[in-house]
Amino acid sequence: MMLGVDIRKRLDDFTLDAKFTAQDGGSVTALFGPSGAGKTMTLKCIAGLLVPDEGCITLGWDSLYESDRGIDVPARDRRVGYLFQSYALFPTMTVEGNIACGMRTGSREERAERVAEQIRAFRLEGLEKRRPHQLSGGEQQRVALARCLVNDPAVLLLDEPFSAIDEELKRELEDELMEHLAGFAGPCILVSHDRAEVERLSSKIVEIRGGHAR
Amino acid sequence: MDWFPLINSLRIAALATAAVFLLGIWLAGAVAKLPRAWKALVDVVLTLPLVLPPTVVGFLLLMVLGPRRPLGAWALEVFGVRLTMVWYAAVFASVVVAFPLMYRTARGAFEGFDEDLADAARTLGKGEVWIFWRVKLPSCRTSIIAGAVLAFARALGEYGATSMVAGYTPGVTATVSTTVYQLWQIGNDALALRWVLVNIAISAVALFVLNWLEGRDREGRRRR
Repeated sequence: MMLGVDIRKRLDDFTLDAKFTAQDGGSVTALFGPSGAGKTMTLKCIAGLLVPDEGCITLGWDSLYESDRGIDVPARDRRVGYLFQSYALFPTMTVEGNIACGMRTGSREERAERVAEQIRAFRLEGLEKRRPHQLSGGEQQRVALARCLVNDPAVLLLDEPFSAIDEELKRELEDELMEHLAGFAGPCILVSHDRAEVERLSSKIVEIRGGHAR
Repeated sequence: MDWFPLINSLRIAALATAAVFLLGIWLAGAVAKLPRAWKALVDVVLTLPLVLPPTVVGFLLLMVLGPRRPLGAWALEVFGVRLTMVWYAAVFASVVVAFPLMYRTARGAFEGFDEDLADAARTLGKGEVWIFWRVKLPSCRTSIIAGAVLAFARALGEYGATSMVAGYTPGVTATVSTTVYQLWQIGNDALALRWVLVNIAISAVALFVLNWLEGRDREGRRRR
């Protein structure tokens, strides 16, 4: 299912005007631009965390947002996976607890089994009972990604996934991230201000400058 | 030594803290959602009891709770209970006086809350109620408990408004603070001093707990 974005949102000193598409089938679309260009704002509109003034956001034949028809699917029903720049792990919950939060359905046993599966797939064995502040940046990112993917999202949004990571580790984590994303078939948008990173990881680059994305 | 004033003070402070705990959290959350102009006004009204003289609070309470005043008359007619000059009248006084401490602490904690956490939960399919109880409140836990301890200490020390709405009747409405005043007035300094020491001990313990909580919170932040 292709993701189509065509939205406008006006703030006091900033106007977002974004029109682009993101293909599915394992390709990554990069949203590339300097900080303050409106990258995160665009992601939040797609996830339903911010409401645009007008336009539409479509996923396949479905509208997630359409100002003309008054459609605005709430964030919790959009099935949009969002990897936050700060990872946004729940600080009072363990690694296991955080991943379990991503589960929408299933009995207690099924959930526990799925969580255990994710723990293995993301090489988090032994860290199940740790809390986020006891993990390294790379481990936090793996937990956040495991929590996103266990939720079975239709779209995946990655907000500057490597900005908090040391330069030496970055390449290694990029490879690792792409490995974990290999099984994800929906549209994936990567937000970044690093041109080299974008060129390495994505198959399509959308430039965003001063709120303007085409 | 008759321990009634201590038991009465503790039950009043405990009930007032429970009420202030829920009210403070609820109103701190509600005020944060108001438009800016309203927020400023409501915030001032809710914080006012912190700086008003207790006699002003007591006077206003009597205007509402007195047996011939709106709420007082209603309670007397419907339930047959008086809202003044009974031991639980002091609970109303303590709630009003201790409320701003809980409210402001909770508000500060909520303002420092990382909204990305709530947004992350929303994208995972969670509702607002779940987010409040499972993410927001636990994240602000230490500050909120500290606010409750501070409110408890303040409620325990309430004198001015309490003496106006509950008065001093030995064995009925007497609290530690009103007992100290009464004993001093009749010249029983020795007994007054014992109650003073009891009061200092309890308040000191409350402040130790508060400092310990804040120290623990700072350490938690450093590790994050």
